Amino acid sequence: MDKITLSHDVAVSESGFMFLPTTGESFTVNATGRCIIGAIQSGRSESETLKILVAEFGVDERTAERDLREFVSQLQRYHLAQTQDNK
Amino acid sequence: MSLGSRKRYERPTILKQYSGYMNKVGNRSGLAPTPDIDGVSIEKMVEQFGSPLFVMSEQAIRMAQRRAYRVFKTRYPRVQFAWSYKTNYLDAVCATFHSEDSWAEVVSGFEYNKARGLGVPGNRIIFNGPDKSEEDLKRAVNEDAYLHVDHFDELYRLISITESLGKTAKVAIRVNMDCGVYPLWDRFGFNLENGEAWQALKRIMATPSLKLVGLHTHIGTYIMSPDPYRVAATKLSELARSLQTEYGHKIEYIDLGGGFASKNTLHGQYLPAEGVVPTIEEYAEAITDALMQHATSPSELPMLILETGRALVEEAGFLITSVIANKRLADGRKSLIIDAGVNLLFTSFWYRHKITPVRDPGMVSEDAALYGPLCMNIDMVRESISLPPLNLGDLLCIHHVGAYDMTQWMQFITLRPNVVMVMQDGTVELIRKAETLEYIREREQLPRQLSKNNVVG
Amino acid sequence: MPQAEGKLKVAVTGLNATDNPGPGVPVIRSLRDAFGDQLEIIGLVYDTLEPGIYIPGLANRFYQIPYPSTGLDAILARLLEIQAREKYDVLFSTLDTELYSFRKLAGELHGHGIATYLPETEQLKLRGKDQLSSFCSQLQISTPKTIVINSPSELNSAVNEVGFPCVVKGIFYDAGIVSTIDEAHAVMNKMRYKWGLPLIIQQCLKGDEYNVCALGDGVGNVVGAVAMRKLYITDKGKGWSGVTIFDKTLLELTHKIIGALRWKGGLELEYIRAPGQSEYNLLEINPRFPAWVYLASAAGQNLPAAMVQLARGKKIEYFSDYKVGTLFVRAAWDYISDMSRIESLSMTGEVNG
Repeated sequence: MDKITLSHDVAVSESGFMFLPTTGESFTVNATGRCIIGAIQSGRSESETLKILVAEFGVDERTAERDLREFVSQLQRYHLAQTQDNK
Repeated sequence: MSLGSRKRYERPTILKQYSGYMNKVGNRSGLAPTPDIDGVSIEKMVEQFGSPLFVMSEQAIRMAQRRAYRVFKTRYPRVQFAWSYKTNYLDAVCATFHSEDSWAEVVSGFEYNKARGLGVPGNRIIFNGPDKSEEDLKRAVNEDAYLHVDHFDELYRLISITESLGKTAKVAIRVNMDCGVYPLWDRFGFNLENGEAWQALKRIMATPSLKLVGLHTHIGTYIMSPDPYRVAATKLSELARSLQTEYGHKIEYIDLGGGFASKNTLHGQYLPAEGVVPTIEEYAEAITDALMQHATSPSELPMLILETGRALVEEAGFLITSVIANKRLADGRKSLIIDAGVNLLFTSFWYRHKITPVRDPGMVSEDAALYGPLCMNIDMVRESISLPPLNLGDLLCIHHVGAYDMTQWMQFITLRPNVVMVMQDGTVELIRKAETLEYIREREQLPRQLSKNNVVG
Repeated sequence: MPQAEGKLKVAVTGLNATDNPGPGVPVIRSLRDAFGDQLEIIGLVYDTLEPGIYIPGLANRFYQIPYPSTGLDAILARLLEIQAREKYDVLFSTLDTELYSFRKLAGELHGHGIATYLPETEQLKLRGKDQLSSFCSQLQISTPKTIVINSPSELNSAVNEVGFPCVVKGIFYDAGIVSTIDEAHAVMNKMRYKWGLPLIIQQCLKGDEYNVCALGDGVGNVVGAVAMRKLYITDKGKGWSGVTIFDKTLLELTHKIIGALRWKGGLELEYIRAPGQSEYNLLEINPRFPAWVYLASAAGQNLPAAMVQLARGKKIEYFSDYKVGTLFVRAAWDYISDMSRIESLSMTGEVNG
C-alpha cells in the first residue's frame, strides 16, 4: 500500500477550515476529510486509515477505499500530500 | 462504538476557496432534497420501476389546467384550451387533459389518430401543421375536425377533397405576423403584412365547400413578454373585423396558439426563469384585454382558443436518475455520470434544469460536470452544477421535464425507461412500459442473405 | 415590526465596495446618519471578500446569501432563515441582478414582516437597456443610437449602423468601448458567456458625464433628486470624484422619467452632454441607487433613509433642495483583518460586525 505524507504542516480547524501559512491558500474540508487528514498526520497507513473510516462512519470498506483514493488524489492535486509507492 | 453514535458518512471532500466563486452559503448547498412526488417516495418508486424513471403527476396536470382556465375565464367569457399533443402525447397525459375539458391540438396524422383512439371526437380536434396528407385531410373532413390551413398548396388540396367528397370543411388559417418577437416565425402559415393572409381568406370565402370558422396564430416559443400576445390578439381581431366589414362574415374563434415561457431557465439566461418570466395572469391580461377592446358587445366576442403545452405540463414531469460513477476530469474538476442522458433529456440542450438530490444533501457541495450514460461526447446534461457528494446509486431528481422530453426522446444506444404516473389517490400507475430488445427488433427485418447461417456459418 | 426595544433593523446588500462598487456601504452610512443608535444593520453578502465585511462597525452582523442565479427557492429560504434569527424590518436591495428575484419574493417577504420598496417587474423591464431607445423616443429625450442584438450574427450590421467607436453593453452589467469589428466580436463573446443575450450596441458619445440620484414613490412623484457632475473618472468609467450641481433641465428630465415610469424606489440616471451643448443624452437608467448615493445624503437629501421610511409605511416630507458644490472624493484605504473572519463566513455563512 502507498504511504501518504502531508507536504505542509497543516492544521484543520474545528469547523473544517484550513489555511496554509506557507502559500496563503485556504480550503474547506468536511468531517470525513478531516478524519482522513487527522489519520495521515498521526502517521497511520492507508489500510489503518480505512479501518478508522469504517469504524467511525460505518461505511463499507470498498466504498471507503474508493473515496479515500479520490480524496488523496485531490490532496495531491492541491500539492498538499505526497504518496510513496510501497510495493 | 455503537452504530447509533456513528457519524453520518459523507464522501470525504476538500475544496479550495476562491474569492468570487465561493458562495455556498457557508458551504451548504442550498438544495432542499426532493424525497417524494405528491407524497409518494421516490426511492420506493425506483425500487419498483427501476432507474432511470420518468414520473408524471396527475395532480400537477389537473392543477395547472384548472388554474389556466380560472385565470382566463375570469377575464374572458369564452375560453377553450386544446391540448398540444406534440408536447406530451402519452395516452395517460392526454386523457388527463381531456378530462379537464381540453380539446386536442394535433400536427400530424399520427397525432390525429392517437387523439381519435382516445375517444376525442373530430369536432374537438384542431388539426395544425404543414404536413397533412390527403388521407389525413379526408378523415378530418369526414369527422368534422377543425382544419388550420398552413399554405396555399394545402388550401387547394383541401378544396379538391371537399368538392370530391361533397362535404363542407371547417377551416381556419394560420397567420404569421410581426409581433416584435425575434425570430419571426414566417415559415408557418400566411403572412399578414404582405397581404398573403387576406388572399387566403378571400379564396376560402369564395369556396362554398369551406366554412371559415377561425383565425389562428402561434407567434413563437418561450416568449418572455406578454406584449407580443397583445399585438397578435389585436392584429387577429382587426383581421376578423375586416372579414365582417367585407363579407359580413363572423368567425367563431381566435386561436392564439401557445408559446408561454416556463419556469425552466435557458442556458443563456443569467437570472432564474421563475424570477423573470411573466405569470400566466400577465399573458391572460394582455390577450383578453386586446380581444375585449375590439368587441362591440360581449355576445360578439369570438371564442378564445389556447394551445398552451409547455406551460401546463412541464412542471408535472420529473426524471429520476441514479449516479453510475464519480470521476475526476483531467483538470481536477469533479464529474458525475448518471443513467439518464440527452437521449431522455432532449431539453437539456437549451435548459439549465433544476436538479435536486432525493436524500438530504449533507453539508458541502462542489461544482461538477454532469454526464449522461451514452458513449458519445454530446451526452452532457450540465457543464457545471453545484451538488453534494453523492455515492454510487444515489438518486437525483430532475425537475420540470414534462414537456417535449417524452416526445423528443431518442432510442439511441440504450432503451427508453418506464414512465409512471402518480395518481391523485396516491397510487402509482405504469403509463408506458420500458422498452425491450424484442420491442426494437420486432420492427427490424434481416435480409435472407444475411441470415445467421450465412453470416456466422 | 420594529423590535421590542424600538430599534429599527435593516438588511442591506451590495457591500462589494470594490473598484466597481455596489451601493451597500454608502447606503448604510446614510442610514446610520439618519437613525443613529436606533438602527441595527444586517449585511447580506455574496462573497467572503466583499470589502464591507471588513469595515469595522459597518453592520452588526453579516450573512452570506445565494447568488440571484441560484433560484428563488434557495434565496427565499435563506432570507427567511436569517429573518427567523434577526427579525429585520426592511430588506434594502441595492444591486441590479437582485431586483427581479426580490420583486417576485416581495409578497412572501411581506408576509414574514419584511418590508421592501422595489419597482414592479414591468417598470424594471421598461427601463431595461434594451428598451431605452423606444422609451426615450416616446418621451422625446435624446439618447445615443442604440441597437439591441439577440444573436451574434446581428453584430456586424449593428456596429455598421451605429459606427465606431461604439459601446457593447451586457443586459445587466459591463460595457466595453470598441473601435474595430474584431474588438467588437471579442467583447461580445466575453459578455454573452457571462450575462447571456441580448447585448446592446450603443453609439459612443463624447462629452461630460452628469448623473442624477433619485427616489420615486411609485405613483409618479419624485421624493428627492440630486444631480452630480463627475470630476474624475477611472479607466473603468466609474466616477471617483464628483460635485453636486443644479440644472433645472436635469431636474425636469428626472420628473419626466420618474413620472412616466411611476418609478418606485431608488434610481440613477446617467447622462452625457457634449461641451457647449445644452442637450443631455440619456445613457442609462439604473434601477437602484448609485454607489455615490452618500453624496446626496451629505448634500441634504438622505434618500436611502427616506426610502426605508416609505418601505415602513411612514409619511415623509419630500425633498426640495440640496447643497450645490458638495464634493465627494473616493479614497483607497486598506482595512486590516484576520483569516478568522473568512473562516467564519466560509464555514458558517455568517460573521459578527
